Amino acid sequence: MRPLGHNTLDHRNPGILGVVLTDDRVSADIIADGIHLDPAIVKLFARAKGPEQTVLITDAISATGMPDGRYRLGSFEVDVREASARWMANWREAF
Amino acid sequence: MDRAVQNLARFAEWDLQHAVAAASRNPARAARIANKGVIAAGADADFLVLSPKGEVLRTFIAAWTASLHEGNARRIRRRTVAETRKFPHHLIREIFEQPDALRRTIEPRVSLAEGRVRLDEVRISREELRALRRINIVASGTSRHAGMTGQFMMQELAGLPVDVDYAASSNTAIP
Repeated sequence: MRPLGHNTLDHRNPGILGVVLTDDRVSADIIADGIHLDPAIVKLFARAKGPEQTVLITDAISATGMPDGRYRLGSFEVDVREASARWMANWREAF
Repeated sequence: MDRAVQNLARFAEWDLQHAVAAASRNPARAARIANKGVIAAGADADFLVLSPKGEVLRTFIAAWTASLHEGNARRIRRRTVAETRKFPHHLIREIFEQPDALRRTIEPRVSLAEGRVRLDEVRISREELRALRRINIVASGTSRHAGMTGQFMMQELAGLPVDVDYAASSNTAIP
């Protein structure tokens, strides 16, 4: 589990994740699209933060929810395949 | 976000209400937006009607219907509830239909602005109405109950004696 721009949860160095997941005063955001994070990680996060401090966010763009095809996101071209959006440039994962 | 809510409920094995809170109450609380994320007097009344699986059936913005959803097609126009999909039972659909049915019945015939009621379907002339001395409403079942309501209204407003008779026995009950 790695929050954007932060270290992973390490057994000797819990870092920001260790603090956020264990401090009940803190709410935390999670993307539950099944792509950014494995469903098991979402479940682990939900167990840690509970129904009061879990905040859902999406990484949704205008092509979200559309059938497979090519869409525009500003000046970028986005391909939607199997319900997942990726940049057109060399089919690299955007995440 | 609707799919995120469904995913969270499934991944975390949570009841839908917890996953919905994670997309409504919790972010509103985290962002300190007091008038959202709660159903309370003075709040914004932006809310959804979800199926038990978390599918969006209806969207309300400031208490008004903004859209009814069918699959991924989202339209912003008024539609009757009967046109929306998936009610768990036809009785529940009928219950939801009632406000719409009443509105569609009353709206074209009653003008609150002008204080007028128009009943174009009723072809009884003013003279014929004036000549009425008594009214017998012949009905059964639901229409009889509607007739009983009408009986009180007509007696009060028109000052005429009104009786409601069972259709099955009307040939003997009406003098």
